[in-house]
Amino acid sequence: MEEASYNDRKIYSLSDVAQSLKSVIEQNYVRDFYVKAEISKLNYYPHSGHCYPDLVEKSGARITAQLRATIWSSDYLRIRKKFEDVTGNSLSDGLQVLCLARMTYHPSYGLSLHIKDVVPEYSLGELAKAKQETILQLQKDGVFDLNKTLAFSLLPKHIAVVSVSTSKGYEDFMSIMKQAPYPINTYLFPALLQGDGAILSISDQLKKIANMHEYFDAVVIVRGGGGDVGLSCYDNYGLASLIANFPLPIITGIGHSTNFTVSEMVAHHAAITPTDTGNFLLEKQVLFAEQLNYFQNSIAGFAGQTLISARQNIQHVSRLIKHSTDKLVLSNRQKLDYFARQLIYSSHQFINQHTHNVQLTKEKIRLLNPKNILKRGFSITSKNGEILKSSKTLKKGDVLKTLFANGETTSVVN
Amino acid sequence: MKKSYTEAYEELQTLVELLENAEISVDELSEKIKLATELIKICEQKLTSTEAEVSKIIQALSE
Repeated sequence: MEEASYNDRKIYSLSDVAQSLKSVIEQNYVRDFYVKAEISKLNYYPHSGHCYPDLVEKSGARITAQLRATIWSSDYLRIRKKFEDVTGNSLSDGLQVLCLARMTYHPSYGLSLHIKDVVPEYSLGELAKAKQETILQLQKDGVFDLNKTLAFSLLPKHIAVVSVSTSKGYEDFMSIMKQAPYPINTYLFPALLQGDGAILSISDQLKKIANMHEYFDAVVIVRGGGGDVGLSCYDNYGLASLIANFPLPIITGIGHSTNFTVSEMVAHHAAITPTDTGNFLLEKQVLFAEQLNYFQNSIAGFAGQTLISARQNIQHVSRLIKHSTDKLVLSNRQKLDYFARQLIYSSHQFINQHTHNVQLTKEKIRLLNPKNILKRGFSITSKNGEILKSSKTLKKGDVLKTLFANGETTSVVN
Repeated sequence: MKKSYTEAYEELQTLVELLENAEISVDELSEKIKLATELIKICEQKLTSTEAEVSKIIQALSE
């Protein structure tokens, strides 16, 4: 290496500086140590299998320290498995980790924290803490139960599905949808459903659905077949808050055996498996069909009852009319009969009276007949054809004619 | 003009009231009874046709 100076000061090559730095660091960092940090970005390279995580420490949103790290592929496989076994989460962006590491410096690659091990129990505690904080914040926001208060469509027919088209979960869900008594239209909004990127991916699709929420009755998030790893994304405040505040009911079928995530807690309904999720929608339809059936029967019953009672009313009125008419006719007939009897009686009376009078008159007339008088011994005397009513006009020698009942005789006055 | 069920039924009720209170003279009786019979016939026809219609609708519902 060529020695040189500038203004009487020695010039070092970059490798000299780097070499010097390397020795300083190696002298000072002789042992592995534990360091806690947040994985800002995991930077896993599947091809080589190495990881180059960006580690940060934050105070609020402000980054107060950051350092690049390295996990060699041989360590990474072991670390990842242990981490997943204990936490149910993959090593992913945003995680708080406690690492066993050593400070290293390489002239070409620079300063790096060589991570040899990760303590999963620490992350588990941090995850639980973060989950609890999300719950508390949502409660403080007053939105924790908001999605549950949304009215669920009586007949869900248009469903936005956030899932992966090739996943087992989506397949399970769709096979249930095919059994729906009323056809259900589903629209897939593809998204990553676990691990890194899921928060952003699901949130993006949910926002897309929210922009056209009037076309849908509900949203389902179904996942399945991906194992229980990487579900802490559902504890994320941003995602859970989006779900809680969503304008449509959200049903989750994330499919796991561990505790509920916050997203499931705030969702309208949390079914465990995609199959359960599908059945939940089918039950809504069955319920609707039953209700419809019930209404139909009630309407039929009511109509029948109305007609029956109307018919009874008419029959009643008919009977009333018949009865009243009969009564009216009868009472008029009775009056008429009475009049008729009165009439007969009165006319008899009248006739009897007159018959009697006629008899009397006849008798009188009979008694007054001169013939009858003659029979009783009386006689009628006449002079010159005139009936004598007095003897004073008689003179001697007058010829008198006397009429008897059975003959007449002539006599001379002396 | 064809009477509605309600009109016919109301008219019937008035008639029945008159009959029950014997406010109808014999002169008008037969005429009134004829009217009442017609009204009853209207109501019954209406009932029967409504019944048929309702059962047709309900039949359509359950298909």
